[in-house]
Amino acid sequence: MILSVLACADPPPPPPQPTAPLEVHALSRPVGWLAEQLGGPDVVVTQVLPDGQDAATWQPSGDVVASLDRADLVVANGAGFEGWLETATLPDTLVSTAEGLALRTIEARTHSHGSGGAHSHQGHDPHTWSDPALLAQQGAALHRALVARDPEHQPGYDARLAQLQEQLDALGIALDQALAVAPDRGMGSNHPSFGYLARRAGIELIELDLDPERPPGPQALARVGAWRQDQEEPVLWWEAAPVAEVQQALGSGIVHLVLDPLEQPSGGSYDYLAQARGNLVRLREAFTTPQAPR
Amino acid sequence: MRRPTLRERLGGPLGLAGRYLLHHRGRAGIQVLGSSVALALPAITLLANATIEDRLLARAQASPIVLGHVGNTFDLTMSALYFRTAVRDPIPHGVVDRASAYGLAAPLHVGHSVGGVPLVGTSLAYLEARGLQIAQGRRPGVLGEVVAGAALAEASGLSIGDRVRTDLTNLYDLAGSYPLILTVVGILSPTGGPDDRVYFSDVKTTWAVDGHLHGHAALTEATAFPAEEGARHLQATAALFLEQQITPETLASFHLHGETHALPASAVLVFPTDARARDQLLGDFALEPLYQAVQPTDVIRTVLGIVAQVRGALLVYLGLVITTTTLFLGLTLTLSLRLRRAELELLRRLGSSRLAVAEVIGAEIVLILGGAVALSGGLTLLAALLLGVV
Repeated sequence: MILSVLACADPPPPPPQPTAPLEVHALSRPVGWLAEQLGGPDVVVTQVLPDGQDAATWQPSGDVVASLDRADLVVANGAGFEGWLETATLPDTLVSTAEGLALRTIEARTHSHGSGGAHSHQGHDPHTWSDPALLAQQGAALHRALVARDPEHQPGYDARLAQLQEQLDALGIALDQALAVAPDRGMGSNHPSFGYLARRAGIELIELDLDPERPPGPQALARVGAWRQDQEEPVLWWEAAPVAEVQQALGSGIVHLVLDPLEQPSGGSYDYLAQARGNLVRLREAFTTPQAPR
Repeated sequence: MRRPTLRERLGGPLGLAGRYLLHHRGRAGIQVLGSSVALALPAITLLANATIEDRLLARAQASPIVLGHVGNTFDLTMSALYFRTAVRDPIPHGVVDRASAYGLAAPLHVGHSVGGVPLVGTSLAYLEARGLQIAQGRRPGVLGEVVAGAALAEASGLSIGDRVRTDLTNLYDLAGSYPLILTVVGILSPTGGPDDRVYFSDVKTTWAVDGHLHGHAALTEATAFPAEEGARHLQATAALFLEQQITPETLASFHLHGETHALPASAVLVFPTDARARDQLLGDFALEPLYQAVQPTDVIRTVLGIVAQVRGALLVYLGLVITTTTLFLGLTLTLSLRLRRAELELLRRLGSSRLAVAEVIGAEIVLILGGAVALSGGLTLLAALLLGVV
């Protein structure tokens, strides 16, 4: 009797089929790292930027751009960092994580030709990730896109976003503490890679547009000369160690502070937190010890 | 065995009439042809009219809302749906972002051409909304890449990798934009509509043809006027070479002048998510002083209303043609009978009754009209095939 009742009962519902992880294509390292942190096991992140290439200058072929159609989400830093986006035909799955952030304006030389009149290539500073708070906001933007695309896994995305924001908040506080004793005016940088970090700490960084591998020309030397005036112990932030010829051309007495611009993997794989903590150590050394940092 | 009578040997009135018409095949042919044209002309005209109306309406119904600058709604609709005419006043591309809140929105930048064929700048949203599939190759990926419609590719013998050159828009604008060489990277599946006969590219490529987006080498002492120390503005000399081909080598030098949202679009085609979004979009743009939201079905129905009035006059005209042709046919028949009086008299003398003679005449008329009906049917069928109705 019991067996017959059991036989007539509705069969148990089939177990839910595990959905395939989202395919996320990242166009630069910081946002690729964000996608990995937020997506966890629910996403498969493909880094579109080839190893060793600079996202700002890399130019993908039309085939590579068309292949982005296969992704569920395409994640970009935006704010002009991936310069090729300006000339590419992009799918509507693109998420520009820096959209809506309070961006810095950087100035560059402008030119004119033909009938177009004077025009400028100045724009926004795209190095948003140098400030962990901005990267956290970019994480929130990516989180919204992930949840909209894959609401089934929202609890996981929520938990990982909370953890990420906690880590980035802690990093930001530590950076603030390290920079609290730094001079708030007069330091220079070779490239606008750390503008948002400086803005966060209330520091004015003078961008000198120097190449760490090529000795500066007369105009660049004139800029450096003007900057060095009134500086007792000038500090120059670099995104890569300047070669000896560059240091020699700039003259003695400059403290060269080399930081990781966090655009590329340092060593093995890209790890934003580990690499930013490396910068933290160098900043602490630079501003708490009397020795010139290297 | 009984011998067949003369009437039986000749196959009765129909056979006799057939033999007569075959003997006078030139005159009979003209009569059949004239009658068939008189019959086929109204049929073909009405068929073509109905087909064009159906197609116009179908295209309009597949294009829910067109946004554009205030002005002539007909020009805007024709430009957005058929790409043949450029609008007088473009709208800023930023309208696309605004329209995206209501559904799928695709910019349309119309006005450039390649060998006289329209080059339509748009986005992937257009291909998606229209259901345009790539039959060969791939969709445009970077600046300078185009896909060709199926009929265009077939007529021009286009294949993947072919280079095509945009037409010069103004011969006397020496300081303006130059023709650009573009690459065909894909061919679309046929749809039977106007999308089959144009090139599609990203709207950025059409901005490059405009000159808003262009490529050149970095400014050097040879290509720029000397600048004072610290100057933030360099002015290029005429020696600066603007790229005329968008290739993998030159692509990186192409850059945009201005903000994307301010660059021009002829129109924005919007596919609202639902009826509510459509009503909201129409309501919001009804308050706009510079832009308008047009429903192409309204515009096309207005045009078809005018066509319907013309069609009434056309039907009267066709009726007159048929009447006149019938009268002429009757006249030629009467004259023919007069000319054949001796011949018909001979039939009577051979013993044919008046009825038998009338049967032969009647059979001739039936054969001529039958031939005319068959020929006009064939012509109408041919027209239907050419119009793609069958």
